[in-house]
Order: sequence, then structure tokens, then C-alpha cells
Amino acid sequence: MATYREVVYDISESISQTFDDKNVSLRQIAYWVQMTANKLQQQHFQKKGTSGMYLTIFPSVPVTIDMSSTVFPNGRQYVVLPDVIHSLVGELGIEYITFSRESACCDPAAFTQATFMFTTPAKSQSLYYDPYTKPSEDNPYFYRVGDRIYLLGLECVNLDLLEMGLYTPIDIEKECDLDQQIKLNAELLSVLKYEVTNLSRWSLVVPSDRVNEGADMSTQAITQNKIKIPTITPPQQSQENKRHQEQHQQQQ
Amino acid sequence: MNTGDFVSVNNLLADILTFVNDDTMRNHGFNRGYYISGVQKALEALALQTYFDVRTEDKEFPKEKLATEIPKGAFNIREIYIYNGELCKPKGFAIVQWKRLYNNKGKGDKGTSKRLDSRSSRDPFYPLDSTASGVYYANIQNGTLMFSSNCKGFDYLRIVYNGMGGAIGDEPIIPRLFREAIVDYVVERCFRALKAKDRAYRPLWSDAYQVLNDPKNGSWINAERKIKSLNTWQRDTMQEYLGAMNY
Repeated sequence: MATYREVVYDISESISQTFDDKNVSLRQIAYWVQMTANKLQQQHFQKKGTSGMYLTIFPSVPVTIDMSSTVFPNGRQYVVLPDVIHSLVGELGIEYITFSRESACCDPAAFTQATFMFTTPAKSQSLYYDPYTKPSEDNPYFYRVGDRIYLLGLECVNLDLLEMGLYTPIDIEKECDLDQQIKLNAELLSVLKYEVTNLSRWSLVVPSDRVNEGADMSTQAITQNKIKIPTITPPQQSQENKRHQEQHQQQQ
Repeated sequence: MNTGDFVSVNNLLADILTFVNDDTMRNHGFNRGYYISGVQKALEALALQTYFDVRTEDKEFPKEKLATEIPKGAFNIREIYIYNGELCKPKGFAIVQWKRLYNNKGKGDKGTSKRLDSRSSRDPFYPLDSTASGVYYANIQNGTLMFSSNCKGFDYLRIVYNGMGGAIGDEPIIPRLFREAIVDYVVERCFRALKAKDRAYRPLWSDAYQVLNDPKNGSWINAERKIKSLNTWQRDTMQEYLGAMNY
């Protein structure tokens, strides 16, 4: 995996080739990199499925229960998500939730013995129709409400801690060390650079293009003020060329 | 063909989840219970078609009511015995016969009505009224097994019946020779459900249906053939009997 420093400096170098008079801070580029890396992670999940590379395990997440809340439902066991997770269909951002059961050394690993199944509050009703799908200690479920994960089937069991495996995106607020590694597959780095460079080009080009310099009030100039998808040729250069052409025509 | 070899639900799930591409049980919205329910339904369908699930229940004879409920999950009574001795250890037994239209309404001797025997007057439509005093008999109505009063002389009851592969909600016990048919049954059921969500699953469902129900070599017909075929032991014995007959 590459570090932020390697990628950020590389992109900074590329930007300065085109926009040498712009002042783009490393922090700004690092932010773009994090934002784009999260987007690529999400796309990776959607196209190729989840990957253990982005999995974070939280071994001891405390289970809580509200008794006199006026905002949340009372009497239901829940855990608060210990980190931000990727929002995917079927809550695939949560890889697994389990709790420890007493087991001998030859038994299956404890975390594989009781895995919570995904449900939603509305679907929960139909789970009770069939004895095999009915929520119970052996067949527990979870559903998500905001940053809370509610547990179903453990109403008669007092749990203290749960183990959770979550697919967490890069936390833009927490990761600010340039020497930290970017949590992204190596083969996606080229896509990352392309995306960030595109993003920077968009950010840098559009504002200048929208400034009304008063140089030309013709219909053509007004049309140019509309937002355009940036092209490979920097618009500044094309404007200069145009001015040269106009001067040349006036001289003639 | 009989078997004493059974496989677990998890063993089947390993195949089923791979075939429907749902290893994590999160891809299609089906949970573990849904798959196990499918296994139980497959077992039930096989039990109803092949009568493979033969069970025996021993209990105390209901001397007061002369009636008892047929065992849970039973759909076909094969044999009924009444016996003395100890529970599950018969010492002197009698066979209970089936008697058409016999009904005591679960009230012992007092609620009895029956087509023959002990009526108040002779029935002109029956040329010969017979008594059945030496015969032990019973009938079933609405899931209740009702016995003749002369069965009172016995302390225990043994019912041999065909079950439906276990009670709903219990962990299914799966004979190994049904493994393939049950896997295919559950896979077909899953794709049938997915077809309703997305028509793109229709070809997969069609394939799964064919694998299961092909009349020549489908896994279901193969399972039926297996369970209905005779053991080598039974076949050899049968041949010996037939060979010894003096035609």
C-alpha cells in the first residue's frame, strides 16, 4: 500500500504542471484523496464484493438498553456502531456480529457459532411466522436504525459485549498523517490518481471560467460562462489565444 | 432400501448456499432459518411420497376414555398393538384391527356407535350380524384413535406409523441417501422465490427445476427409486420364498 505522502506529492506535481500559478495545499489534495478513496472502496464492494482488506474487527462493543428514553424505543438491546461504516444494500457494511459462547478447544471458533442475521423492523414480523426463522438465542437477528444496531431474539438473554466486523471507510477527521498508508488496493491507485486529478481540474478550472472579466460582452462570451465539462486544453490558454486572435484581427 | 446414516442440516447448507451464491446468507435476503425450513419441507414431501419415515410410539393405554390422539406428525398408521408387561417391553400382546365407522367420541364405553355388533335391534340391510367380542379394534376420526372396550384389559399401547420427517421446528434428521434430492429441492425453492423479485433468475430457476424434476434422471425421482427399492437382503429372502413354493 502507498502512503498519503507518495500519492499526494505525485498528484501535487501533476497539478502544478498545468496550474502553476494556483496554490493548492497538500491538505487539500489529501482531502480529495481520502474522499475519492472512499468512493473507490464503495465501488469495489458493489462490483467485486466485500474484501477483508477493508474489514475492521471490534472485539468488545458494549450492549446497551434504554429504559426511559423519550427519543428511542425502550427495552430493546442495542449497540452503537463503534465507527462509520460503508452504507451498502442489506447492511453489508456490517460483515458480522457475534457473541462469545463457551466452547471447548475442538469446537468451531467461538465467533462462528452464533452469527446475527440481517433484518429490518418491518421484516421482523414475518420472521415469527416460521419456527425456523423465529428470532431466538440460537437464531438472533439485527437491524440498523441510524448509528444503532438493535438486536432481536435475545430478549431473555443479558449480553454485555458483542464482537463486530465492520467495513469502515477512511475517517477524514481522524487520518491526518501523511505517512499513514492509504486503505486502498494497489491496483486502484492509478484510478485514484486519475479521479483526484480530474477532481482538481474541475475545481480549479470552473471558478476562473465563471468570472466575468468584462473583456467581451458578445453572445459568444456569455455562452462560455456556462459550466462546462473541462477539456484537456486548459480554458485559460484558449482565452489567451482568443485575445491574441482578436488583437491580430484588430491590427489587420 | 433402508439407511441408518444421517447427515446434518449444516452439511446440506454447505452445498445449498454455494449453489444459490449466498455463502454469507446476505445476498438474497434469505436467512438461515429460511434454508432450514426448506430442508424440512423437502423431507416432509419425501416422507409423504415414499413413506420412508417409520416411527414407533409406546404409551399407556387410555382405559378411561378409550381414545387417544394419534402421534404428532403421523399421517399413516401402519400397525397398532396393545400389550401388558412394562412400557416398551411387551409381554403378551394383541393386534388391534381397524373397524370401519367405529366411534366412541372419546367417552369410553358410553359414547360408542358402530356399524356392526351390539346394536339394539337387527339391521335389515345386513344379512348377517356378527359379534366381534374376541376382536380388538379401533378407528380414527379427526386425529383421534378410538378403541373398542375390550382393549381395556391391556395396559400399554404401541403405534407404528409413518411420520412426516420430524416435527416442524425441530432440527431435521436427513437420511444420507436423500442428500442430493433435498439440496436440489431447496435450491429450486430459492430460485423460485428470487424469480419473483427479479426475472433474470428465471433461467436459473428453470435449470434447478429440471435438475430436480427430470422424470428420467431427476434427483427427486432418483430418491424415490432408492427408498422404494428392496434391500439385497429382502430381495434374496423373497427369492428364496418364491423358489421354495411348489407351483
